Amino acid sequence: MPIISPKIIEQIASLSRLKFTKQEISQAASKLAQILSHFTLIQKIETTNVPTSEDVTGLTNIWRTDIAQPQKLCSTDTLLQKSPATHQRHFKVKAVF
Amino acid sequence: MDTLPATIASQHQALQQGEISAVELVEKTLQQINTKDSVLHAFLQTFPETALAQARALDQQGAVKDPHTPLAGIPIAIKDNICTTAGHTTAASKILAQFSSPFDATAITRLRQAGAVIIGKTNLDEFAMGSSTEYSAFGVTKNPWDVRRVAGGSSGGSTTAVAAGLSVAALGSDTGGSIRQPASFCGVVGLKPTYGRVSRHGLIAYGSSLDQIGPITRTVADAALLLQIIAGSDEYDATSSPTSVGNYHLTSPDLKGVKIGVPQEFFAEGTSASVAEVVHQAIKDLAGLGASIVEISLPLTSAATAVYFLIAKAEASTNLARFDGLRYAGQKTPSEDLLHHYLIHRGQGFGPEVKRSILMGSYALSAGYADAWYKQASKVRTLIRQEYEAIFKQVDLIAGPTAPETAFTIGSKSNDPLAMYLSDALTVPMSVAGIPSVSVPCGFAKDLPVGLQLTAPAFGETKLLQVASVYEQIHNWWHKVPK
Repeated sequence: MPIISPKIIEQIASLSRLKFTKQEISQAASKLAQILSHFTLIQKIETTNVPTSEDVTGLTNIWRTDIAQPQKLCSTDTLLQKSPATHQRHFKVKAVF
Repeated sequence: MDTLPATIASQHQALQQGEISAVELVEKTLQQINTKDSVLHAFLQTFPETALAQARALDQQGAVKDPHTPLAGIPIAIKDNICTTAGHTTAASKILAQFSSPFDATAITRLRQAGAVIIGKTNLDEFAMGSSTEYSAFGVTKNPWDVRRVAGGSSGGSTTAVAAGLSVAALGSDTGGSIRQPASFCGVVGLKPTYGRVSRHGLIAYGSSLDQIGPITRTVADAALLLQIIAGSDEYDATSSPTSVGNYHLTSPDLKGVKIGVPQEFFAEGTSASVAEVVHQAIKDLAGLGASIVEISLPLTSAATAVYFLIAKAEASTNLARFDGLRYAGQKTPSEDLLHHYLIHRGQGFGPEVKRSILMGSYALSAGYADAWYKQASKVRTLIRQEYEAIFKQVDLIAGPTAPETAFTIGSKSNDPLAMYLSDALTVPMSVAGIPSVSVPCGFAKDLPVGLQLTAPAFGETKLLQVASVYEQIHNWWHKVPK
């Protein structure tokens, strides 16, 4: 049974920018451990020399000309109108620094 | 006209013959929703103003007589993870409660060009992660056949809306079964097209290598019509396929010469006996129309669940990294600095299944674990794709149950994520392989709907829908409606 310690959950939660309560951490640890122990069956499948499936479409290098299509552009007014907090025609957000 | 015609085809005919106007059709549809949806909770929003304005314009233009607008006046419900300029697009999440999309998804644009009226947005599991619609941040959708039971998920709002006659058709999305499984639970038709058949532009991404938008309807003919309209390559979705769209207009051949494979693994111990019995009868019906039934084996079926969830959750952890709670979250909690803001708003804005999914996905991708989990899952995915390619050299289609059981009671699996995942065991393999699959009503087990799942090779939607339609016309199960 793979051990997903609460410490690993805390680390990943922090990297994923998710706040968990202590209780949520221990619940997540136990539920994930249960799920992953069921999933270990894939590790028994022989995959030497089997390629991965990052590509599922067989398509490569799909191009289109880099020109603006005015009829498809959204106006600044529309974008600002749909946002709850704006300041002088910018989105207002928390300071990064 | 007292009762609304039940299908797109019959509504279209009524409009063409002047028995009802587009405005009246929208008004009656909205009335149905207002009457029944307080119990069922299929809809998160309805758009009476825009829908009536759209309908009025269509009536004035005489659009129902125009062959270029085959859906003129037809009201369609849209799963709320598909962007519409009307109303909000919330993905049933608090973190997007105030998000209003500046653009329509390509599928919506195509429906509108065909004259469809967008009647409202339907409920789903949050960010399409779930199999019951219990994980919606805005309440569960009930199954119209038994309101103590789930509609299925994640497109439960759309399937309940269609099954209960609240909307003649809907769009859903399917990543691991999210159209097909709720279609099976609600007794309607649900199609997951080949990966790349329908543009994902404007679909809020869950698993980008798996997601597809698809139709949910009462009949296969209606599903074929909607697919015809929304399918096709799109310059805004580089994964959309340049393969030309087939002609999905259905004729009615018999099934002579059609070879249908029935995998033994789909009837293993996880599948309930009562569901198996109903589906076996459906397969006998297919044989009765001339199909030859071949017993086949798909040994990687049991591995597909693990492969699917590891890949889907890994992709989801990346896709959901963009949601920062800075603009559209419903609740605003005071925060000290930007990092604190992210932690709190993502922590509170996402529900427990979404947070668990992000954790699992990030874990499967993290240094030291990625080879054993994500990379191995991706390799087994290749093997599963090859397994299906090989089997389609022997058979034309594959048949089996859509879900291992009928609709379960609300609350019975919501605390058991593994049990919830296993209810998708029969739909995830087709998502992993990227091939098209449809659920068609095939009867009832203890008064609850059962779905027959038919699967075709990539871009095989024409034959898939032909066979599904021929089967459907044996019993026309869709005539039976929930009380």
